[in-house]
Amino acid sequence: MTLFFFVLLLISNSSAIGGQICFKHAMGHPDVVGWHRAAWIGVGLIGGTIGFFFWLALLPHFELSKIFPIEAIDRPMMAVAASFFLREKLTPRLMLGIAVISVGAVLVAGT
Amino acid sequence: MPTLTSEPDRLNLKSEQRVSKMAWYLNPYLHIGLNVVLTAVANILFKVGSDNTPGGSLLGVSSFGSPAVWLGIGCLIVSLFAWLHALRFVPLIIAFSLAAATQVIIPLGCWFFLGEQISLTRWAGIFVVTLGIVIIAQPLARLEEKL
Repeated sequence: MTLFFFVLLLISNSSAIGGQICFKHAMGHPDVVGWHRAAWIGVGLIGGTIGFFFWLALLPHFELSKIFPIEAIDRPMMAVAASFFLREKLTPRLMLGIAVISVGAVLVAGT
Repeated sequence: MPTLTSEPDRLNLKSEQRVSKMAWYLNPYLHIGLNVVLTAVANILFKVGSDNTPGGSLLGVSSFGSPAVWLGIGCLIVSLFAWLHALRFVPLIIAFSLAAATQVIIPLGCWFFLGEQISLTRWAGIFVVTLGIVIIAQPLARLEEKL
């Protein structure tokens, strides 16, 4: 995988993760209600859609079985993003669980 | 900066107490499970729908003629609402990690309903993902029992 395609993959994952951060902000923040909440959900949906189209752009260049395991980096990326932007607690146990799930996701997707 | 916390204060207790007072059908963990199952059902329906429609069209547009595909889209819409409800109460890191159960349910669903083969490595992966989910879910289950 060249640096160009790796950057595309990072953009795809980042957009999808950004969408999830917006969803969480919409639903979890007490001051975000009504149209404000709907707007954040809308931005989240746009983020997810952008991520999906970048993913579609990557697929023709690689075999799915080779690229899908790399996509498993979205879980550690999500953990870092949620702790940074949402100030969520990242415990050693949680990090261990995420690492184990990521390894498992690579095995499931890569065979 | 990410906040690394010690084991005892790792969970949002106020949120967990709110969850424990809810009606069972509003439990956010149930909604994460619903999201996982509906996502898996949607993907299996997409596969069935796309297999039963003539191929050759750009981006599989011809699959939209299949009722199974539309049923799958309906499942995804309901799963989104379930996911949004869960996010009201559960930290995103935990919800996203628990939702990794799709990595287990989809291959098992394909094996059971579509007769697809699962290699030994994939069985190992299913086991490892399940182990990771248990690692994350165990303290949550213990806390629910206490409240």
